[in-house]
Amino acid sequence: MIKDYVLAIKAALASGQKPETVFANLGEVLARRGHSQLLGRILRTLERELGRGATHLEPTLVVARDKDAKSPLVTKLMKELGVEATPRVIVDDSVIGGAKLSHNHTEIDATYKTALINLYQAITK
Amino acid sequence: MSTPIIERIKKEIAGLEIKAMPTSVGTVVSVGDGIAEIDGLVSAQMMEMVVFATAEGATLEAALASETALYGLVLNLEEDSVKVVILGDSGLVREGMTVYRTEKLLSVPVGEGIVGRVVDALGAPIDGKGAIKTDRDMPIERVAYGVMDRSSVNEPIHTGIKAIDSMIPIGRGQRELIIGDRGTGKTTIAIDTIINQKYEPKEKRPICIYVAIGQKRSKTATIMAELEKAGAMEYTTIVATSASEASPMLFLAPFTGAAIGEYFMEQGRDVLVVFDDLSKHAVAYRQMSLLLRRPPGREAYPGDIFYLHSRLLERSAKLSKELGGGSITALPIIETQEGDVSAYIPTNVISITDGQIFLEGDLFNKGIRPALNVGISVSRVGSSAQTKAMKAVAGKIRLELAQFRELEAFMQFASDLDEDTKKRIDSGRKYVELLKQTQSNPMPFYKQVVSIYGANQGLLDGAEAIKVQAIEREFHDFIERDRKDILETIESERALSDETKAALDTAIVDFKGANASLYTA
Repeated sequence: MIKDYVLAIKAALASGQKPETVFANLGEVLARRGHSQLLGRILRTLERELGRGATHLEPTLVVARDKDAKSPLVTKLMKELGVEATPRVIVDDSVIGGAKLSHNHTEIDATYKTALINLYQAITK
Repeated sequence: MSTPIIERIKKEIAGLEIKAMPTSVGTVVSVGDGIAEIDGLVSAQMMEMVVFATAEGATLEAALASETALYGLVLNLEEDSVKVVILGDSGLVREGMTVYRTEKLLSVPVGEGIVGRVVDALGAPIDGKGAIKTDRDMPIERVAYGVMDRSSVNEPIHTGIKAIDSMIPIGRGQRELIIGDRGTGKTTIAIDTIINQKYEPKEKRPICIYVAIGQKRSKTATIMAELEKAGAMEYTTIVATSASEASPMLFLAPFTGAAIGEYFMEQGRDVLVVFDDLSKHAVAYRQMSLLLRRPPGREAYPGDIFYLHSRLLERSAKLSKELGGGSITALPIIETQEGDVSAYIPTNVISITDGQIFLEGDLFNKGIRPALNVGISVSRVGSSAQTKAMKAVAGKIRLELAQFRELEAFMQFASDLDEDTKKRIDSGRKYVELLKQTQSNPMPFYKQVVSIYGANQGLLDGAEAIKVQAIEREFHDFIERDRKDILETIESERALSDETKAALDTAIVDFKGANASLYTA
């Protein structure tokens, strides 16, 4: 049932209806049918459906510090993945150093953390 | 630490070059019931392993503390997503988690070191005896050998059970189904067959693989103890999955057993694989398929349930000499409900295999063990693999039992029987007694030949049916003590020459003369 509502919303949005109108109508239909409790789950599913394929699609860079985003390593990774646009930068100090770049469902992980984990696994295998 | 050393380390870190390759990635969209839906993972393959980035966002220390990587297995390739079964703790997987392709089809590490060990469905040791030294990875799913790569089944695999080896012989490379209700002795036949391989010469002894699919852990432990006690673990590997494990593990277990078997078969060795049991395997596959939202068919099993078992059992083969002449003999087990062999899964597996051993609850309750229904049990290729010695003696027993079965029904309402009928019934009863065997007591084929030849040649004449087992025991002792050369000749020649027959005839006369007390009422 949730999937049917999501399909209807997507069709309505695709036909050019204003989002405000679509969601107002949705609320009305749900209330009339006694399905108001489903609203949260419908919106959650819609969010997931609309977000499908978006993750790892846009260039995203993960570095340990802000300044690492301008390192030669990042330039090299961008060249390797063919990224021309400026990537979205995420600072995550758990990666220790290096950089991780993802774009178009492909990722290059050149972080120190991954290198150290790989080294540890190779030694302890 | 001195400054130059720190400077040196800093310089090394600055110059550290990490060789990283582009990897295809995806994102977990939803997860539940051990199944994850992944967005991305472009060009993933069926049966490919993927790895979940469980260490994402965790500190290095926490990442190193986590025991092993969490893998998934690609089983559904859909229009805009990929569905994978999680091969581990699915509680660690969360929405939005990154998933990496490994570009490796699911495989199991195999080597000589795996013999004598207990492993899980992924080939990891679970017997607490440490890591297994392996040589290579064998793919779990693989296309079976083609027609030209095979040779005909021509060597026997002895089960050590008189009723089977004489009337339903199994050949190396054959697939013989063991089917029956619960508690009728299916596993016992399989385990006795494994134990009996210790009587085979070392160079001819098959590697045995016992695959426990969704069995109780206590049962697997008992089987392991039994095999260890009998000295059979030294040539046996147990692939154990318990009822408490996730259905993908149960689904993979027999394929893992087949992959381990193929490793040894390719070295020209013989392998015996027991799949205990494929009914539970079918149930696990049904559960997994329903969770993967595959369309259900008859009894809610997916449409490819026949293909699942046929592609598994087709991997047992007798390879041609050019390919080393190795073999995989499969003993799949099917549990029936109320003796109904016409149910969906039993009929599927009956049609795939090269013969069936039917076990009946009624016979079991009558005290006939193994509770084998000789009338409907068959082996379609085994007779060409039977030893000449066994072939020479087994023909009469089959005929005698067939006649006995006919008369058995008749004698229930006939009060006055003629002498010939009485004789046949008496003879039939004695054969039934002779074929009884206790658990964990397999008999080497040369002793079986001696017993059956003796029965055919009047060893049991004049004795009561109740004394048949005692006479057999005493006769074996007598032969082993006084005429050991007869046993040695049968074992080495695997045939019954005229001289051996004459020696056995003399032995029967001498035994009867020396043990007259066994023949008096």
